[in-house]
Amino acid sequence: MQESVGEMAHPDDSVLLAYIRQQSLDTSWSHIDQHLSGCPHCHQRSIDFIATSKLLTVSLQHFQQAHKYPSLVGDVIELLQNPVAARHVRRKRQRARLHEDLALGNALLVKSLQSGMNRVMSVLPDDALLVKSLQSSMNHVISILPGAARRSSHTRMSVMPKLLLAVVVMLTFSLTVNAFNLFHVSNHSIPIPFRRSSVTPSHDVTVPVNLSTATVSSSKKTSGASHPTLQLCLVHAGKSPLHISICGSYFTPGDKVRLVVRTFSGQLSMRHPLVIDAHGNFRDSWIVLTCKEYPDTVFVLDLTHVLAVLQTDQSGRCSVPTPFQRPHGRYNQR
Amino acid sequence: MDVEVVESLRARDAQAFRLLIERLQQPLIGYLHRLVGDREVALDLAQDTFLQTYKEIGKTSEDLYVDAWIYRIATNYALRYLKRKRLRQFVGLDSPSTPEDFNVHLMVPGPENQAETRILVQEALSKMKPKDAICLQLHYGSGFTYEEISFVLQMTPEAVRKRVARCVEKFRALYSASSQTDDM
Repeated sequence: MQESVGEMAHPDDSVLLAYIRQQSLDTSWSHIDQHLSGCPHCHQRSIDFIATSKLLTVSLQHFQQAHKYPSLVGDVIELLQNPVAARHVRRKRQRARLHEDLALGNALLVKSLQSGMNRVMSVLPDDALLVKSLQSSMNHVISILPGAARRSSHTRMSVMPKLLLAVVVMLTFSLTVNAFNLFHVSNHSIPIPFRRSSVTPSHDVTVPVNLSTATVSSSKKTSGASHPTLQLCLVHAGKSPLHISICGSYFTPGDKVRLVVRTFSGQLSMRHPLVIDAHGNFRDSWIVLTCKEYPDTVFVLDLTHVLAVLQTDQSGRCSVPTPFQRPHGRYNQR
Repeated sequence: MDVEVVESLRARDAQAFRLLIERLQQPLIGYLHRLVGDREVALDLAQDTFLQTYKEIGKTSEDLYVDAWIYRIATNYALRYLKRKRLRQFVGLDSPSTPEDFNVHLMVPGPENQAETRILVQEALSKMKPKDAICLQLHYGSGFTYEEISFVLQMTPEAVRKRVARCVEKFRALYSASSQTDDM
Protein backbone atom coordinates (compact mmCIF):
# COMPACT_ATOMS: atom_id res chain seq x y z
CA MET A 1 0.00 0.00 0.00
CA GLN A 2 1.28 3.42 -0.90
CA GLU A 3 -0.25 6.49 0.70
CA SER A 4 -3.38 6.92 2.72
CA VAL A 5 -6.45 8.97 1.97
CA GLY A 6 -8.52 9.37 5.07
CA GLU A 7 -8.70 5.99 6.73
CA MET A 8 -7.89 3.86 3.68
CA ALA A 9 -4.65 3.52 1.82
CA HIS A 10 -4.27 3.62 -1.95
CA PRO A 11 -3.49 0.11 -3.15
CA ASP A 12 -0.21 0.00 -5.03
CA ASP A 13 -0.12 -0.88 -8.72
CA SER A 14 0.62 -4.56 -8.20
CA VAL A 15 -2.28 -5.02 -5.75
CA LEU A 16 -4.67 -3.09 -7.96
CA LEU A 17 -3.67 -5.11 -11.01
CA ALA A 18 -3.97 -8.38 -9.09
CA TYR A 19 -7.45 -7.29 -8.01
CA ILE A 20 -8.41 -6.49 -11.60
CA ARG A 21 -6.98 -9.77 -12.84
CA GLN A 22 -8.69 -11.62 -9.97
CA GLN A 23 -5.52 -13.20 -8.71
CA SER A 24 -5.89 -14.53 -5.20
CA LEU A 25 -3.75 -12.67 -2.73
CA ASP A 26 -3.70 -12.32 1.03
CA THR A 27 -5.07 -8.80 0.66
CA SER A 28 -8.77 -8.52 1.30
CA TRP A 29 -10.64 -7.55 -1.85
CA SER A 30 -13.54 -5.97 0.07
CA HIS A 31 -11.22 -3.17 1.26
CA ILE A 32 -10.17 -2.50 -2.34
CA ASP A 33 -13.78 -2.55 -3.52
CA GLN A 34 -14.63 -0.02 -0.88
CA HIS A 35 -11.60 2.11 -1.68
CA LEU A 36 -12.25 2.16 -5.43
CA SER A 37 -15.82 3.30 -4.97
CA GLY A 38 -14.64 6.32 -3.01
CA CYS A 39 -11.36 7.21 -4.72
CA PRO A 40 -11.60 8.69 -8.25
CA HIS A 41 -7.80 8.55 -8.65
CA CYS A 42 -7.62 4.79 -8.06
CA HIS A 43 -10.77 4.30 -10.08
CA GLN A 44 -9.05 5.94 -13.05
CA ARG A 45 -5.92 3.83 -12.47
CA SER A 46 -8.02 0.69 -12.51
CA ILE A 47 -9.66 1.75 -15.78
CA ASP A 48 -6.20 2.24 -17.32
CA PHE A 49 -5.09 -1.19 -16.12
CA ILE A 50 -8.23 -2.81 -17.50
CA ALA A 51 -7.63 -1.18 -20.90
CA THR A 52 -3.98 -2.33 -21.03
CA SER A 53 -4.91 -5.83 -19.86
CA LYS A 54 -7.57 -6.08 -22.53
CA LEU A 55 -5.14 -4.91 -25.20
CA LEU A 56 -2.57 -7.52 -24.15
CA THR A 57 -5.08 -10.35 -23.78
CA VAL A 58 -6.77 -9.75 -27.12
CA SER A 59 -3.50 -9.32 -28.96
CA LEU A 60 -1.60 -12.25 -27.43
CA GLN A 61 -4.46 -14.73 -27.38
CA HIS A 62 -5.40 -13.87 -30.93
CA PHE A 63 -1.92 -14.85 -32.02
CA GLN A 64 -2.29 -18.24 -30.34
CA GLN A 65 -5.68 -18.85 -31.94
CA ALA A 66 -4.74 -17.63 -35.42
CA HIS A 67 -1.84 -19.99 -35.91
CA LYS A 68 -2.15 -23.69 -36.54
CA TYR A 69 0.99 -25.74 -36.25
CA PRO A 70 1.67 -29.26 -37.51
CA SER A 71 1.07 -31.94 -34.92
CA LEU A 72 4.09 -33.21 -33.03
CA VAL A 73 2.31 -36.22 -31.54
CA GLY A 74 3.41 -38.72 -34.20
CA ASP A 75 7.04 -37.64 -34.18
CA VAL A 76 7.35 -37.47 -30.42
CA ILE A 77 5.60 -40.78 -29.76
CA GLU A 78 7.67 -42.47 -32.44
CA LEU A 79 10.84 -41.15 -30.90
CA LEU A 80 9.71 -42.24 -27.46
CA GLN A 81 8.85 -45.77 -28.61
CA ASN A 82 12.13 -46.12 -30.43
CA PRO A 83 14.85 -45.24 -27.95
CA VAL A 84 17.60 -45.78 -30.54
CA ALA A 85 16.02 -43.24 -32.89
CA ALA A 86 15.44 -40.88 -29.98
CA ARG A 87 19.08 -41.23 -28.95
CA HIS A 88 20.10 -40.61 -32.56
CA VAL A 89 18.04 -37.41 -32.72
CA ARG A 90 19.40 -36.30 -29.35
CA ARG A 91 22.98 -36.91 -30.46
CA LYS A 92 22.38 -35.12 -33.72
CA ARG A 93 21.10 -32.10 -31.80
CA GLN A 94 24.06 -32.31 -29.40
CA ARG A 95 26.48 -32.46 -32.34
CA ALA A 96 24.79 -29.48 -33.97
CA ARG A 97 25.02 -27.57 -30.71
CA LEU A 98 28.68 -28.54 -30.32
CA HIS A 99 29.46 -27.27 -33.81
CA GLU A 100 27.58 -24.11 -33.08
CA ASP A 101 29.44 -23.66 -29.80
CA LEU A 102 32.75 -24.13 -31.56
CA ALA A 103 31.80 -21.68 -34.28
CA LEU A 104 30.71 -19.22 -31.60
CA GLY A 105 33.95 -19.72 -29.68
CA ASN A 106 36.00 -19.20 -32.81
CA ALA A 107 34.06 -16.13 -33.78
CA LEU A 108 34.51 -14.69 -30.30
CA LEU A 109 38.24 -15.46 -30.41
CA VAL A 110 38.61 -13.85 -33.84
CA LYS A 111 36.71 -10.80 -32.66
CA SER A 112 38.88 -10.40 -29.57
CA LEU A 113 42.08 -11.07 -31.53
CA GLN A 114 41.11 -8.48 -34.09
CA SER A 115 40.34 -5.87 -31.47
CA GLY A 116 43.61 -6.72 -29.68
CA MET A 117 45.47 -6.44 -32.97
CA ASN A 118 43.98 -3.04 -33.66
CA ARG A 119 45.16 -1.92 -30.26
CA VAL A 120 48.66 -3.23 -30.89
CA MET A 121 48.76 -1.48 -34.28
CA SER A 122 47.74 1.79 -32.73
CA VAL A 123 50.79 1.89 -30.46
CA LEU A 124 53.40 0.36 -32.72
CA PRO A 125 56.25 2.59 -33.86
CA ASP A 126 56.31 3.78 -37.43
CA ASP A 127 58.14 0.72 -38.64
CA ALA A 128 56.51 -0.59 -41.79
CA LEU A 129 58.38 -3.89 -41.73
CA LEU A 130 57.35 -4.67 -38.15
CA VAL A 131 53.72 -3.73 -38.79
CA LYS A 132 53.62 -5.80 -41.96
CA SER A 133 55.09 -8.89 -40.34
CA LEU A 134 52.74 -8.63 -37.36
CA GLN A 135 49.76 -8.22 -39.64
CA SER A 136 50.70 -11.21 -41.75
CA SER A 137 51.19 -13.43 -38.64
CA MET A 138 47.88 -12.28 -37.29
CA ASN A 139 46.08 -12.92 -40.55
CA HIS A 140 47.56 -16.39 -40.62
CA VAL A 141 46.34 -17.11 -37.09
CA ILE A 142 42.86 -15.79 -37.87
CA SER A 143 42.66 -17.69 -41.13
CA ILE A 144 42.99 -21.04 -39.38
CA LEU A 145 40.24 -20.36 -36.86
CA PRO A 146 36.87 -20.15 -38.66
CA GLY A 147 37.53 -23.36 -40.63
CA ALA A 148 37.71 -25.34 -37.40
CA ALA A 149 33.95 -25.34 -37.02
CA ARG A 150 33.45 -27.18 -40.28
CA ARG A 151 35.91 -29.97 -39.55
CA SER A 152 35.21 -33.30 -37.95
CA SER A 153 35.75 -33.82 -34.27
CA HIS A 154 38.95 -35.74 -35.02
CA THR A 155 40.42 -32.89 -37.04
CA ARG A 156 39.15 -30.45 -34.44
CA MET A 157 41.54 -31.92 -31.92
CA SER A 158 44.46 -31.00 -34.16
CA VAL A 159 43.20 -27.43 -34.22
CA MET A 160 43.74 -27.10 -30.49
CA PRO A 161 47.52 -26.56 -30.76
CA LYS A 162 46.81 -23.84 -33.31
CA LEU A 163 44.38 -22.21 -30.92
CA LEU A 164 47.05 -22.40 -28.26
CA LEU A 165 49.46 -20.82 -30.74
CA ALA A 166 46.96 -18.03 -31.27
CA VAL A 167 46.77 -17.44 -27.53
CA VAL A 168 50.58 -17.41 -27.30
CA VAL A 169 50.78 -14.92 -30.18
CA MET A 170 48.21 -12.77 -28.43
CA LEU A 171 50.20 -12.86 -25.21
CA THR A 172 53.34 -11.90 -27.10
CA PHE A 173 51.49 -8.98 -28.60
CA SER A 174 50.29 -7.93 -25.19
CA LEU A 175 53.84 -7.99 -23.87
CA THR A 176 54.95 -5.96 -26.87
CA VAL A 177 52.21 -3.46 -26.18
CA ASN A 178 53.28 -3.20 -22.57
CA ALA A 179 56.87 -2.69 -23.63
CA PHE A 180 55.90 0.09 -25.99
CA ASN A 181 53.56 1.61 -23.48
CA LEU A 182 56.60 2.27 -21.32
CA PHE A 183 57.58 4.85 -23.87
CA HIS A 184 55.33 7.77 -24.28
CA VAL A 185 57.17 8.22 -27.51
CA SER A 186 55.71 6.06 -30.20
CA ASN A 187 54.67 6.40 -33.77
CA HIS A 188 52.52 9.25 -32.57
CA SER A 189 54.29 12.55 -32.42
CA ILE A 190 55.01 13.70 -28.92
CA PRO A 191 52.77 16.57 -28.05
CA ILE A 192 55.21 19.27 -27.16
CA PRO A 193 54.04 21.40 -24.26
CA PHE A 194 53.69 25.08 -25.06
CA ARG A 195 56.32 27.39 -23.83
CA ARG A 196 55.55 29.68 -20.98
CA SER A 197 55.43 33.20 -22.35
CA SER A 198 57.80 34.66 -19.79
CA VAL A 199 60.36 32.95 -17.66
CA THR A 200 61.23 34.78 -14.51
CA PRO A 201 64.99 34.71 -14.13
CA SER A 202 66.00 32.96 -11.01
CA HIS A 203 67.81 35.12 -8.53
CA ASP A 204 70.66 32.83 -7.75
CA VAL A 205 71.28 30.47 -10.63
CA THR A 206 71.64 30.63 -14.34
CA VAL A 207 68.51 29.20 -15.95
CA PRO A 208 69.04 28.37 -19.57
CA VAL A 209 65.59 26.82 -19.97
CA ASN A 210 63.09 25.65 -17.44
CA LEU A 211 62.86 21.92 -17.90
CA SER A 212 59.24 21.51 -16.95
CA THR A 213 58.02 23.96 -19.51
CA ALA A 214 60.66 24.34 -22.10
CA THR A 215 61.13 22.14 -25.03
CA VAL A 216 61.13 23.64 -28.43
CA SER A 217 60.81 27.27 -29.23
CA SER A 218 57.39 27.94 -30.63
CA SER A 219 58.90 30.04 -33.37
CA LYS A 220 60.90 27.10 -34.66
CA LYS A 221 59.20 26.03 -37.80
CA THR A 222 60.88 25.26 -41.03
CA SER A 223 57.84 24.82 -43.17
CA GLY A 224 54.26 26.10 -43.08
CA ALA A 225 52.19 24.45 -40.38
CA SER A 226 54.68 21.67 -39.51
CA HIS A 227 55.49 21.72 -35.83
CA PRO A 228 58.64 20.30 -34.37
CA THR A 229 57.98 16.67 -33.55
CA LEU A 230 59.73 13.76 -31.89
CA GLN A 231 59.44 10.13 -32.85
CA LEU A 232 60.75 6.86 -31.57
CA CYS A 233 62.38 5.92 -34.84
CA LEU A 234 64.30 2.77 -33.95
CA VAL A 235 64.04 0.01 -31.39
CA HIS A 236 66.14 -3.09 -31.61
CA ALA A 237 64.09 -4.97 -29.07
CA GLY A 238 65.33 -8.36 -30.19
CA LYS A 239 68.90 -7.57 -29.29
CA SER A 240 70.46 -7.23 -25.91
CA PRO A 241 71.11 -4.55 -24.84
CA LEU A 242 68.19 -2.58 -26.22
CA HIS A 243 69.02 0.15 -28.72
CA ILE A 244 66.64 3.03 -29.11
CA SER A 245 66.75 6.15 -31.25
CA ILE A 246 64.75 9.33 -30.99
CA CYS A 247 64.34 11.38 -34.16
CA GLY A 248 63.30 15.01 -34.33
CA SER A 249 61.86 16.70 -37.40
CA TYR A 250 60.83 20.20 -38.47
CA PHE A 251 63.38 21.95 -36.31
CA THR A 252 65.36 25.01 -37.42
CA PRO A 253 68.54 23.92 -39.18
CA GLY A 254 71.70 24.83 -37.32
CA ASP A 255 70.04 25.16 -33.93
CA LYS A 256 71.53 23.42 -30.95
CA VAL A 257 69.24 21.18 -28.88
CA ARG A 258 69.61 18.67 -26.12
CA LEU A 259 67.32 15.82 -25.13
CA VAL A 260 66.26 15.42 -21.53
CA VAL A 261 65.03 11.94 -20.76
CA ARG A 262 62.80 11.09 -17.83
CA THR A 263 63.10 7.37 -17.25
CA PHE A 264 60.42 5.02 -16.08
CA SER A 265 61.96 5.09 -12.60
CA GLY A 266 61.56 8.88 -12.52
CA GLN A 267 65.24 9.77 -13.06
CA LEU A 268 66.10 12.70 -15.31
CA SER A 269 69.14 12.54 -17.50
CA MET A 270 70.55 14.90 -20.10
CA ARG A 271 71.80 13.72 -23.44
CA HIS A 272 74.69 15.39 -25.20
CA PRO A 273 74.01 18.51 -27.30
CA LEU A 274 72.98 18.00 -30.91
CA VAL A 275 73.00 20.27 -33.92
CA ILE A 276 69.94 20.25 -36.21
CA ASP A 277 70.92 19.25 -39.74
CA ALA A 278 70.14 21.15 -42.92
CA HIS A 279 66.77 19.37 -43.29
CA GLY A 280 65.62 20.32 -39.81
CA ASN A 281 66.15 16.81 -38.43
CA PHE A 282 68.25 15.27 -35.71
CA ARG A 283 68.68 11.84 -34.22
CA ASP A 284 69.90 10.69 -30.83
CA SER A 285 70.55 7.04 -29.99
CA TRP A 286 71.48 5.28 -26.81
CA ILE A 287 71.43 1.93 -25.12
CA VAL A 288 68.98 0.90 -22.44
CA LEU A 289 70.27 -1.75 -20.10
CA THR A 290 67.44 -2.20 -17.64
CA CYS A 291 63.73 -1.58 -17.50
CA LYS A 292 64.30 1.29 -15.08
CA GLU A 293 66.16 3.10 -17.84
CA TYR A 294 63.26 2.98 -20.32
CA PRO A 295 62.35 6.52 -21.31
CA ASP A 296 59.03 7.63 -19.96
CA THR A 297 59.05 11.13 -21.43
CA VAL A 298 61.54 12.86 -23.68
CA PHE A 299 61.92 16.64 -23.73
CA VAL A 300 63.93 18.80 -26.11
CA LEU A 301 65.87 21.71 -24.71
CA ASP A 302 66.53 24.63 -26.97
CA LEU A 303 70.14 25.67 -26.36
CA THR A 304 70.21 28.32 -29.07
CA HIS A 305 67.57 30.61 -27.73
CA VAL A 306 68.13 31.03 -24.04
CA LEU A 307 65.47 33.19 -22.52
CA ALA A 308 67.26 34.69 -19.58
CA VAL A 309 70.68 34.54 -18.09
CA LEU A 310 71.86 35.71 -14.72
CA GLN A 311 75.57 35.81 -14.06
CA THR A 312 76.35 35.72 -10.34
CA ASP A 313 79.91 36.95 -10.88
CA GLN A 314 81.24 35.04 -7.88
CA SER A 315 84.17 33.50 -9.72
CA GLY A 316 86.50 31.96 -7.17
CA ARG A 317 85.12 34.00 -4.29
CA CYS A 318 82.32 31.77 -3.16
CA SER A 319 82.03 31.13 0.55
CA VAL A 320 78.89 29.50 1.91
CA PRO A 321 78.40 29.90 5.66
CA THR A 322 77.36 26.71 7.42
CA PRO A 323 74.56 27.06 10.00
CA PHE A 324 76.21 24.76 12.55
CA GLN A 325 79.83 24.10 13.22
CA ARG A 326 80.38 20.48 12.42
CA PRO A 327 82.42 18.75 15.11
CA HIS A 328 85.56 17.57 13.39
CA GLY A 329 86.27 13.89 13.39
CA ARG A 330 83.14 12.82 15.19
CA TYR A 331 81.26 11.65 12.08
CA ASN A 332 84.33 9.97 10.78
CA GLN A 333 84.54 7.88 13.91
CA ARG A 334 81.18 6.28 13.33
CA MET B 1 -4.89 -31.58 -13.49
CA ASP B 2 -6.09 -34.82 -11.95
CA VAL B 3 -3.72 -36.62 -9.66
CA GLU B 4 -4.51 -39.78 -11.63
CA VAL B 5 -3.34 -38.19 -14.87
CA VAL B 6 -0.12 -37.05 -13.24
CA GLU B 7 0.30 -40.54 -11.85
CA SER B 8 -0.19 -42.04 -15.35
CA LEU B 9 2.34 -39.65 -16.79
CA ARG B 10 4.80 -40.49 -14.05
CA ALA B 11 4.27 -44.15 -14.88
CA ARG B 12 5.21 -43.30 -18.51
CA ASP B 13 1.80 -44.27 -19.83
CA ALA B 14 2.00 -43.68 -23.62
CA GLN B 15 -1.69 -42.91 -23.97
CA ALA B 16 -1.60 -40.32 -21.19
CA PHE B 17 1.42 -38.79 -22.77
CA ARG B 18 -0.24 -38.68 -26.21
CA LEU B 19 -3.23 -36.89 -24.71
CA LEU B 20 -0.95 -34.44 -22.96
CA ILE B 21 0.87 -33.56 -26.19
CA GLU B 22 -2.41 -33.22 -28.08
CA ARG B 23 -3.75 -30.86 -25.46
CA LEU B 24 -0.65 -28.71 -25.03
CA GLN B 25 1.13 -28.68 -28.38
CA GLN B 26 -0.71 -25.81 -30.09
CA PRO B 27 -0.56 -23.31 -27.21
CA LEU B 28 3.00 -24.34 -26.36
CA ILE B 29 4.28 -23.96 -29.93
CA GLY B 30 2.43 -20.64 -30.20
CA TYR B 31 4.05 -19.47 -26.96
CA LEU B 32 7.50 -20.50 -28.16
CA HIS B 33 6.89 -19.02 -31.60
CA ARG B 34 6.07 -15.69 -30.04
CA LEU B 35 9.13 -15.82 -27.80
CA VAL B 36 11.76 -16.87 -30.33
CA GLY B 37 10.16 -15.31 -33.40
CA ASP B 38 10.85 -18.31 -35.65
CA ARG B 39 8.23 -20.95 -36.44
CA GLU B 40 10.64 -23.79 -37.24
CA VAL B 41 12.74 -23.14 -34.15
CA ALA B 42 9.54 -23.08 -32.08
CA LEU B 43 8.56 -26.52 -33.45
CA ASP B 44 12.03 -27.93 -32.64
CA LEU B 45 11.98 -26.47 -29.15
CA ALA B 46 8.49 -27.85 -28.51
CA GLN B 47 9.59 -31.33 -29.59
CA ASP B 48 12.65 -31.10 -27.32
CA THR B 49 10.38 -29.96 -24.51
CA PHE B 50 8.08 -32.99 -24.83
CA LEU B 51 11.01 -35.40 -25.05
CA GLN B 52 12.56 -33.83 -21.97
CA THR B 53 9.20 -34.01 -20.19
CA TYR B 54 8.92 -37.72 -20.85
CA LYS B 55 12.48 -38.27 -19.70
CA GLU B 56 12.20 -36.32 -16.46
CA ILE B 57 8.60 -36.75 -15.35
CA GLY B 58 9.39 -39.84 -13.31
CA LYS B 59 11.53 -37.70 -11.00
CA THR B 60 8.70 -35.31 -10.11
CA SER B 61 6.17 -35.46 -7.29
CA GLU B 62 2.45 -36.23 -7.46
CA ASP B 63 1.34 -32.68 -6.72
CA LEU B 64 3.09 -31.38 -9.84
CA TYR B 65 1.58 -28.55 -11.90
CA VAL B 66 2.21 -30.43 -15.14
CA ASP B 67 1.37 -27.56 -17.49
CA ALA B 68 3.47 -25.03 -15.57
CA TRP B 69 6.32 -27.53 -15.34
CA ILE B 70 6.27 -28.14 -19.11
CA TYR B 71 6.17 -24.40 -19.73
CA ARG B 72 9.14 -24.04 -17.42
CA ILE B 73 11.13 -26.50 -19.55
CA ALA B 74 10.00 -24.74 -22.74
CA THR B 75 10.85 -21.31 -21.30
CA ASN B 76 14.33 -22.49 -20.35
CA TYR B 77 14.87 -23.81 -23.87
CA ALA B 78 13.62 -20.55 -25.37
CA LEU B 79 15.81 -18.42 -23.10
CA ARG B 80 18.84 -20.56 -23.93
CA TYR B 81 18.08 -20.20 -27.62
CA LEU B 82 17.67 -16.42 -27.33
CA LYS B 83 20.93 -16.15 -25.43
CA ARG B 84 22.81 -18.03 -28.13
CA LYS B 85 21.08 -16.00 -30.82
CA ARG B 86 22.21 -12.76 -29.16
CA LEU B 87 25.75 -14.12 -28.95
CA ARG B 88 25.67 -15.14 -32.61
CA GLN B 89 24.51 -11.68 -33.57
CA PHE B 90 27.20 -10.12 -31.39
CA VAL B 91 30.02 -11.99 -33.13
CA GLY B 92 28.47 -11.45 -36.55
CA LEU B 93 27.47 -15.05 -37.30
CA ASP B 94 23.82 -13.98 -37.60
CA SER B 95 22.40 -10.77 -38.91
CA PRO B 96 20.22 -9.03 -36.35
CA SER B 97 16.56 -9.92 -36.87
CA THR B 98 14.26 -7.04 -37.60
CA PRO B 99 10.73 -6.71 -36.22
CA GLU B 100 9.48 -7.02 -39.82
CA ASP B 101 10.64 -10.68 -39.85
CA PHE B 102 8.08 -11.53 -37.22
CA ASN B 103 5.39 -9.07 -38.26
CA VAL B 104 4.50 -11.34 -41.18
CA HIS B 105 3.03 -13.73 -38.63
CA LEU B 106 0.92 -10.98 -37.12
CA MET B 107 -0.75 -10.02 -40.39
CA VAL B 108 -3.48 -12.61 -40.08
CA PRO B 109 -6.96 -11.13 -40.19
CA GLY B 110 -8.61 -11.26 -36.80
CA PRO B 111 -12.17 -10.73 -35.68
CA GLU B 112 -11.56 -7.01 -35.49
CA ASN B 113 -8.84 -6.95 -38.13
CA GLN B 114 -6.44 -5.27 -35.72
CA ALA B 115 -3.18 -6.19 -37.43
CA GLU B 116 -1.69 -2.76 -36.82
CA THR B 117 -2.41 -2.90 -33.10
CA ARG B 118 -0.91 -6.38 -32.90
CA ILE B 119 2.25 -5.12 -34.59
CA LEU B 120 2.52 -2.24 -32.12
CA VAL B 121 2.00 -4.65 -29.22
CA GLN B 122 4.69 -6.92 -30.63
CA GLU B 123 7.08 -3.99 -31.09
CA ALA B 124 6.59 -2.96 -27.49
CA LEU B 125 7.11 -6.53 -26.26
CA SER B 126 10.24 -6.98 -28.36
CA LYS B 127 11.80 -3.94 -26.68
CA MET B 128 11.35 -5.50 -23.24
CA LYS B 129 13.74 -7.90 -21.55
CA PRO B 130 12.94 -11.53 -22.46
CA LYS B 131 11.99 -12.42 -18.89
CA ASP B 132 9.61 -9.46 -18.65
CA ALA B 133 8.01 -10.30 -21.98
CA ILE B 134 7.69 -13.93 -20.83
CA CYS B 135 5.85 -12.79 -17.72
CA LEU B 136 3.24 -10.94 -19.77
CA GLN B 137 3.07 -13.69 -22.34
CA LEU B 138 2.36 -16.32 -19.69
CA HIS B 139 -0.26 -14.28 -17.89
CA TYR B 140 -2.11 -12.63 -20.77
CA GLY B 141 -1.30 -14.98 -23.63
CA SER B 142 -1.36 -18.38 -21.96
CA GLY B 143 -3.72 -17.47 -19.13
CA PHE B 144 -1.46 -18.59 -16.30
CA THR B 145 -2.21 -17.43 -12.77
CA TYR B 146 0.42 -15.66 -10.70
CA GLU B 147 0.95 -18.85 -8.75
CA GLU B 148 1.56 -20.88 -11.90
CA ILE B 149 3.91 -18.21 -13.25
CA SER B 150 5.79 -18.33 -9.98
CA PHE B 151 6.31 -22.04 -10.63
CA VAL B 152 7.44 -21.48 -14.22
CA LEU B 153 9.84 -18.65 -13.41
CA GLN B 154 10.94 -20.01 -10.03
CA MET B 155 9.85 -16.94 -8.12
CA THR B 156 7.47 -16.28 -5.25
CA PRO B 157 3.87 -15.30 -6.12
CA GLU B 158 4.52 -11.93 -4.48
CA ALA B 159 7.49 -11.31 -6.75
CA VAL B 160 5.39 -12.32 -9.75
CA ARG B 161 2.66 -9.89 -8.71
CA LYS B 162 5.17 -7.04 -8.56
CA ARG B 163 6.87 -8.06 -11.74
CA VAL B 164 3.62 -8.30 -13.73
CA ALA B 165 2.63 -4.81 -12.56
CA ARG B 166 6.06 -3.43 -13.42
CA CYS B 167 5.99 -5.11 -16.84
CA VAL B 168 2.52 -3.76 -17.58
CA GLU B 169 3.74 -0.25 -16.76
CA LYS B 170 6.78 -0.73 -18.94
CA PHE B 171 4.65 -2.15 -21.73
CA ARG B 172 2.25 0.77 -21.51
CA ALA B 173 5.09 3.29 -21.84
CA LEU B 174 6.64 1.45 -24.79
CA TYR B 175 3.30 0.96 -26.48
CA SER B 176 2.38 4.64 -26.24
CA ALA B 177 5.83 5.59 -27.54
CA SER B 178 5.39 3.23 -30.51
CA SER B 179 1.89 4.53 -31.20
CA GLN B 180 3.09 8.12 -31.16
CA THR B 181 5.99 7.31 -33.51
CA ASP B 182 3.57 5.53 -35.78
CA ASP B 183 1.21 8.50 -35.86
CA MET B 184 3.96 10.92 -36.89
